[in-house]
Amino acid sequence: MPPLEDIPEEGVITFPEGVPGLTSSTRFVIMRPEDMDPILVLQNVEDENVSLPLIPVHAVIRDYSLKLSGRDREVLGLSSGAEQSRLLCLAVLILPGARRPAACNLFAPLVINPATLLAKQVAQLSSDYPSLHSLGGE
Amino acid sequence: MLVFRRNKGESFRVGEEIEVRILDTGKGYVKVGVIAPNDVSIRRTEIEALNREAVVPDWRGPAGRARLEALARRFHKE
Repeated sequence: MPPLEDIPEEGVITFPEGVPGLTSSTRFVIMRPEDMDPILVLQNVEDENVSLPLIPVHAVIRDYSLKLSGRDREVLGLSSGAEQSRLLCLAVLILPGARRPAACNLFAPLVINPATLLAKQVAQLSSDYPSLHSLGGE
Repeated sequence: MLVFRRNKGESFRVGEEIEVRILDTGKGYVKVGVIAPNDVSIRRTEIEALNREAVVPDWRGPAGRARLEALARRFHKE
Protein backbone atom coordinates (compact mmCIF):
# COMPACT_ATOMS: atom_id res chain seq x y z
CA MET A 1 0.00 0.00 0.00
CA PRO A 2 1.40 3.45 -0.91
CA PRO A 3 2.01 5.94 1.92
CA LEU A 4 -1.04 8.00 2.78
CA GLU A 5 -0.96 11.28 0.91
CA ASP A 6 -2.18 13.47 3.71
CA ILE A 7 0.32 12.24 6.29
CA PRO A 8 3.39 14.45 6.21
CA GLU A 9 6.68 12.61 6.00
CA GLU A 10 8.18 14.82 8.68
CA GLY A 11 7.23 13.92 12.19
CA VAL A 12 7.14 10.16 11.63
CA ILE A 13 7.23 8.54 15.04
CA THR A 14 8.98 5.22 15.50
CA PHE A 15 7.90 2.60 18.02
CA PRO A 16 11.06 0.43 18.04
CA GLU A 17 9.16 -2.34 19.85
CA GLY A 18 5.95 -1.84 17.86
CA VAL A 19 2.53 -1.19 19.32
CA PRO A 20 1.48 -4.43 21.06
CA GLY A 21 -1.28 -6.33 19.29
CA LEU A 22 -1.17 -4.21 16.16
CA THR A 23 0.91 -4.31 13.01
CA SER A 24 4.59 -5.20 12.96
CA SER A 25 5.13 -1.83 11.28
CA THR A 26 6.81 0.61 13.67
CA ARG A 27 6.17 3.92 11.88
CA PHE A 28 3.28 6.20 12.78
CA VAL A 29 2.21 9.83 12.64
CA ILE A 30 0.00 11.78 15.01
CA MET A 31 -3.05 13.41 13.41
CA ARG A 32 -4.82 16.29 15.15
CA PRO A 33 -8.21 16.72 13.47
CA GLU A 34 -9.49 20.17 14.50
CA ASP A 35 -13.04 19.13 15.37
CA MET A 36 -11.86 16.18 17.47
CA ASP A 37 -9.78 18.18 19.94
CA PRO A 38 -8.52 17.02 22.48
CA ILE A 39 -8.59 13.59 20.79
CA LEU A 40 -5.64 12.70 18.56
CA VAL A 41 -5.26 9.82 16.15
CA LEU A 42 -2.17 7.64 15.89
CA GLN A 43 -2.02 6.61 12.24
CA ASN A 44 0.23 3.89 10.90
CA VAL A 45 2.17 5.08 7.86
CA GLU A 46 2.05 1.81 5.94
CA ASP A 47 -1.49 0.64 6.66
CA GLU A 48 -4.31 3.17 6.71
CA ASN A 49 -6.57 0.73 8.57
CA VAL A 50 -4.32 0.80 11.62
CA SER A 51 -5.29 3.92 13.55
CA LEU A 52 -5.79 4.43 17.27
CA PRO A 53 -7.65 7.33 18.91
CA LEU A 54 -5.71 8.82 21.81
CA ILE A 55 -6.31 11.28 24.63
CA PRO A 56 -3.61 13.11 26.60
CA VAL A 57 -3.59 11.44 30.03
CA HIS A 58 -3.64 14.81 31.77
CA ALA A 59 -6.99 15.60 30.14
CA VAL A 60 -8.34 12.61 32.09
CA ILE A 61 -6.25 12.63 35.29
CA ARG A 62 -4.73 16.03 35.98
CA ASP A 63 -1.93 14.75 38.21
CA TYR A 64 -1.17 11.53 36.31
CA SER A 65 2.27 10.34 37.31
CA LEU A 66 4.31 8.53 34.67
CA LYS A 67 6.98 6.09 35.78
CA LEU A 68 9.72 4.97 33.39
CA SER A 69 12.30 2.22 33.80
CA GLY A 70 15.87 2.52 32.59
CA ARG A 71 14.91 0.30 29.66
CA ASP A 72 11.96 2.59 28.79
CA ARG A 73 14.23 5.66 28.82
CA GLU A 74 16.67 3.81 26.58
CA VAL A 75 13.99 2.94 24.00
CA LEU A 76 12.73 6.55 24.05
CA GLY A 77 16.26 7.88 23.55
CA LEU A 78 16.01 9.86 26.76
CA SER A 79 19.47 10.67 28.08
CA SER A 80 20.12 9.98 31.75
CA GLY A 81 19.72 13.56 32.96
CA ALA A 82 16.92 14.53 30.56
CA GLU A 83 13.63 15.79 31.94
CA GLN A 84 10.62 13.50 31.70
CA SER A 85 8.30 16.51 31.51
CA ARG A 86 8.98 17.01 27.80
CA LEU A 87 7.46 13.63 26.95
CA LEU A 88 4.00 13.26 25.45
CA CYS A 89 1.87 10.82 27.42
CA LEU A 90 -1.24 9.63 25.60
CA ALA A 91 -3.86 7.08 26.60
CA VAL A 92 -5.46 4.75 24.06
CA LEU A 93 -9.18 5.52 23.77
CA ILE A 94 -11.68 2.70 23.48
CA LEU A 95 -14.89 4.00 21.91
CA PRO A 96 -18.20 3.07 23.51
CA GLY A 97 -19.36 -0.32 22.29
CA ALA A 98 -22.17 -2.77 22.83
CA ARG A 99 -20.56 -4.07 25.99
CA ARG A 100 -19.31 -0.93 27.74
CA PRO A 101 -19.04 2.85 27.84
CA ALA A 102 -16.10 4.78 26.41
CA ALA A 103 -12.88 4.15 28.28
CA CYS A 104 -9.20 4.84 28.10
CA ASN A 105 -6.16 2.79 29.02
CA LEU A 106 -4.36 4.59 31.84
CA PHE A 107 -2.35 1.49 32.77
CA ALA A 108 -0.28 1.50 29.57
CA PRO A 109 -0.02 4.97 27.98
CA LEU A 110 1.84 5.65 24.77
CA VAL A 111 4.87 7.76 25.58
CA ILE A 112 6.47 9.82 22.82
CA ASN A 113 9.75 11.67 23.04
CA PRO A 114 9.31 14.71 20.72
CA ALA A 115 13.07 15.28 20.70
CA THR A 116 13.88 11.88 19.17
CA LEU A 117 10.43 10.92 17.75
CA LEU A 118 10.83 7.59 19.51
CA ALA A 119 7.87 6.08 21.32
CA LYS A 120 6.83 3.13 23.46
CA GLN A 121 3.70 1.84 25.15
CA VAL A 122 4.78 1.79 28.77
CA ALA A 123 2.92 -0.40 31.28
CA GLN A 124 2.74 1.28 34.70
CA LEU A 125 3.41 -1.88 36.68
CA SER A 126 3.93 -0.14 40.01
CA SER A 127 0.84 2.10 39.83
CA ASP A 128 -2.83 1.37 40.23
CA TYR A 129 -4.01 3.02 37.03
CA PRO A 130 -6.65 0.83 35.33
CA SER A 131 -6.34 -0.49 31.79
CA LEU A 132 -10.02 0.36 31.32
CA HIS A 133 -10.75 3.74 32.92
CA SER A 134 -14.41 4.46 32.19
CA LEU A 135 -15.20 7.85 30.71
CA GLY A 136 -18.89 7.40 31.53
CA GLY A 137 -21.73 8.09 29.13
CA GLU A 138 -23.70 5.49 27.22
CA MET B 1 -1.40 -25.95 25.23
CA LEU B 2 0.64 -27.55 27.97
CA VAL B 3 -1.36 -27.72 31.20
CA PHE B 4 0.07 -28.60 34.60
CA ARG B 5 -0.43 -27.76 38.26
CA ARG B 6 1.85 -25.67 40.47
CA ASN B 7 1.53 -24.85 44.15
CA LYS B 8 2.16 -21.48 45.72
CA GLY B 9 5.90 -20.79 45.93
CA GLU B 10 6.75 -23.27 43.17
CA SER B 11 8.15 -22.25 39.82
CA PHE B 12 8.86 -23.50 36.35
CA ARG B 13 11.28 -22.62 33.60
CA VAL B 14 10.61 -21.63 29.98
CA GLY B 15 13.75 -22.39 28.00
CA GLU B 16 17.07 -21.85 29.73
CA GLU B 17 16.72 -18.27 30.90
CA ILE B 18 13.13 -17.60 31.94
CA GLU B 19 11.67 -18.67 35.26
CA VAL B 20 8.07 -18.16 36.30
CA ARG B 21 7.15 -18.41 39.99
CA ILE B 22 3.69 -18.58 41.51
CA LEU B 23 3.92 -16.08 44.39
CA ASP B 24 0.39 -15.96 45.68
CA THR B 25 -3.16 -16.88 44.87
CA GLY B 26 -6.39 -15.14 45.75
CA LYS B 27 -10.01 -15.17 44.83
CA GLY B 28 -9.98 -15.40 41.06
CA TYR B 29 -6.35 -14.38 40.51
CA VAL B 30 -2.78 -15.59 40.82
CA LYS B 31 0.26 -13.42 41.43
CA VAL B 32 3.25 -14.47 39.37
CA GLY B 33 6.89 -13.43 39.34
CA VAL B 34 9.01 -13.65 36.21
CA ILE B 35 12.79 -13.79 36.13
CA ALA B 36 14.05 -13.11 32.62
CA PRO B 37 16.97 -11.44 30.82
CA ASN B 38 16.61 -7.69 30.22
CA ASP B 39 16.13 -8.09 26.49
CA VAL B 40 13.08 -10.33 26.93
CA SER B 41 9.97 -8.17 26.89
CA ILE B 42 7.12 -9.36 29.08
CA ARG B 43 3.75 -8.01 28.02
CA ARG B 44 0.28 -8.32 29.37
CA THR B 45 -1.80 -9.78 26.59
CA GLU B 46 -4.89 -7.80 27.60
CA ILE B 47 -3.03 -4.66 26.48
CA GLU B 48 -2.67 -6.17 23.03
CA ALA B 49 -6.38 -7.06 22.98
CA LEU B 50 -7.34 -3.54 24.11
CA ASN B 51 -5.18 -1.95 21.41
CA ARG B 52 -6.83 -4.13 18.77
CA GLU B 53 -10.27 -3.26 20.12
CA ALA B 54 -9.44 0.48 20.11
CA VAL B 55 -8.53 0.61 16.41
CA VAL B 56 -10.91 2.86 14.45
CA PRO B 57 -10.11 2.04 10.81
CA ASP B 58 -12.79 4.38 9.43
CA TRP B 59 -11.95 7.46 11.51
CA ARG B 60 -11.77 9.55 8.32
CA GLY B 61 -15.21 8.42 7.17
CA PRO B 62 -18.48 10.04 8.29
CA ALA B 63 -19.41 7.32 10.82
CA GLY B 64 -15.96 7.18 12.42
CA ARG B 65 -15.67 10.96 12.57
CA ALA B 66 -19.09 11.28 14.19
CA ARG B 67 -18.18 8.82 16.94
CA LEU B 68 -14.88 10.53 17.72
CA GLU B 69 -16.36 14.04 17.62
CA ALA B 70 -19.16 12.98 19.97
CA LEU B 71 -16.62 11.64 22.44
CA ALA B 72 -14.42 14.75 22.08
CA ARG B 73 -17.38 17.00 23.00
CA ARG B 74 -17.56 15.33 26.42
CA PHE B 75 -14.15 16.73 27.30
CA HIS B 76 -15.30 20.25 26.45
CA LYS B 77 -18.24 20.14 28.84
CA GLU B 78 -16.04 19.60 31.87
